[in-house]
Amino acid sequence: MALSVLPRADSRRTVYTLLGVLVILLVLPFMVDDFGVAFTMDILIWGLLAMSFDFIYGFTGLLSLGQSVFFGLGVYGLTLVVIHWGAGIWLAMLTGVVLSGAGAALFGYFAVKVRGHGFIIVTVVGATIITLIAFAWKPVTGGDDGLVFTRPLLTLGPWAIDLTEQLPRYYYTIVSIAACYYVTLRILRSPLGRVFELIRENEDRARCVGYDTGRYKLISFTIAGLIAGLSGVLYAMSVSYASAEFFNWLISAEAVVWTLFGGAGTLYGAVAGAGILIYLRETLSSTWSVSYPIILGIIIITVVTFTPAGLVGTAKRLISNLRKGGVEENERHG
Amino acid sequence: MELFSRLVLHSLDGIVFGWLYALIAFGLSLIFGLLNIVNVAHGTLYMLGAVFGWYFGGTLSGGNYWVALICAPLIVCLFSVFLETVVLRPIEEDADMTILSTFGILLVVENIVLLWIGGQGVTFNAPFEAQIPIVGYRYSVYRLFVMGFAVTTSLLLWWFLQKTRYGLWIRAVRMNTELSLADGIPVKSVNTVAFALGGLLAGLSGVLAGPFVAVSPVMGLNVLIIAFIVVIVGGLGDPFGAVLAGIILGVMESLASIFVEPTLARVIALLFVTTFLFFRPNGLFGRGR
Repeated sequence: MALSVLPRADSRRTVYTLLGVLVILLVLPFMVDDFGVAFTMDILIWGLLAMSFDFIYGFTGLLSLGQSVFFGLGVYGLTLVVIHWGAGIWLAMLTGVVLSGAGAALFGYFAVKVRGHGFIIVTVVGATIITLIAFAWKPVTGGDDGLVFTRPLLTLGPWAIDLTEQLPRYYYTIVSIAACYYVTLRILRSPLGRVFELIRENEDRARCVGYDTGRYKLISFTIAGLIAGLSGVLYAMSVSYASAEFFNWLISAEAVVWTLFGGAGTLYGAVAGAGILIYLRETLSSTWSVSYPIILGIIIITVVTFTPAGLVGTAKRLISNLRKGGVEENERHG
Repeated sequence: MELFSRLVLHSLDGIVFGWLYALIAFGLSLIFGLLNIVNVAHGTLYMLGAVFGWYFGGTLSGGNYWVALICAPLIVCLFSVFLETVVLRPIEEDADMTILSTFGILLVVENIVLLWIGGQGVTFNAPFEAQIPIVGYRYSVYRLFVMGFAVTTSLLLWWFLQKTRYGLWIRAVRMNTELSLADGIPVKSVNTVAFALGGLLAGLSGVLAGPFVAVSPVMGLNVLIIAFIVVIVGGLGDPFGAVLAGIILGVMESLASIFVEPTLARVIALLFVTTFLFFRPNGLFGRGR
């Protein structure tokens, strides 16, 4: 992962690619059935969670198993203000995301003090403890029964849109995710993002050049927490309930698997990995209801053995090999 | 039951569990130290040990525990070697991919076992039901036997690492793989031996723990996290640190469960052990901060 494979946020090609993907997603509901739309929405939300992991791991080099905590905080931030204060959508979303960010800042304050593999342990222990607390604190979180709420209306100036309908909710979700993706890309392409990558490559060197690496790691952790929080907020709006189970570190572990499968350090690889693995899980589980994890496991092992750079990394290498081959051809003929 | 007796008996329980954690952690630490591979399937090896323990000790042999104690670890050991040579060797350069691949193994094995024994879990009996009086109450002899067995195994492992040729090689490769290669150490077979040893120890702990825990397909995952915590807190590649961290974790959890409910006890134990990371980030016996 020595070189950043991020597309330039300001280049024309990136903008066109992103717009292209966005247009495909926008017209998708007219091409697939309701189930397909719901499925795409699911994949994108989980993909956003995987992106949050990619932000902290693929770009800053910190393997965090705590992303589920910020996902859960996003879910509960939104749910609680809607239930208790009857908050509108914007206040509810803001509460969810801010709560995740604050939680990530606090969690990260302790976690980034521990370097190396200790960091993984601190995040997994933190997530375990918060999960246990969430299960035990029934009056507030609803424990394993969870909390059900009514989705607030999406108010845009004079309009109020009902998000219980699937189609408006789909557009609401993809617009939020696209905006978040763009902002994340800008952050990673900014000087700040470069510092994150420097820390990933060599933290000691970063410190020698004069960066307060602890502070930058905390900033990166907090931003990743905000992204995870947004995915939690969107998920809560999608299913309209909250459960203590959302804090479980196993959800973080899934995000890790999706990201590594797609290719870490690329952002869209995380989304692609989530998409492919969730698609496989759904298809296989409807065909072989009991033993589908066995087949999923075999697929993962096979893919990893033959494409060690992750799917996106391998695709990139193939393309660049083809290009190089093409250039050589031209030179020979010229 | 008066407080003093409970403290003594719970401490004993904690030491038994802690030493089993340490046995599992040894293997994880060996593999991690040599190849920098996080073996997510390591808890699965422990689970397999317990399941084969049930199979050989209960079903197949009509209840002979000793057959299980020999056969189960050997089978798990073979499986571990298979894992290293067939699945992990092609990708062992890339730490990320080994996490994914061993996760795949975990999915496959856990669900095959689920099909085999079902999700309810199974049980098998300890070889002896005897109890001896300790501080006025009766304590299971089998647990004492487990403790003795674990201590003996740890000593054997120490002897292996310090006094045999392969032990020396393992320590050398852990220090510097390139230099070891240059010195003519067969690094590949050293790695295989580490996996074999890790599988043997995990399988052994599975059989030993089998009679007093619920044998189920998911028992490996909890243990994996505990073993990983024990490895990191104890210090990578430091067997003594692992034993001490394991025992601290086991005893803390066991003692806390006298006063609070079990889940809270686990929270307290985990918090307590993790705080060591802030003061001794290089392991309990590690140098420097």
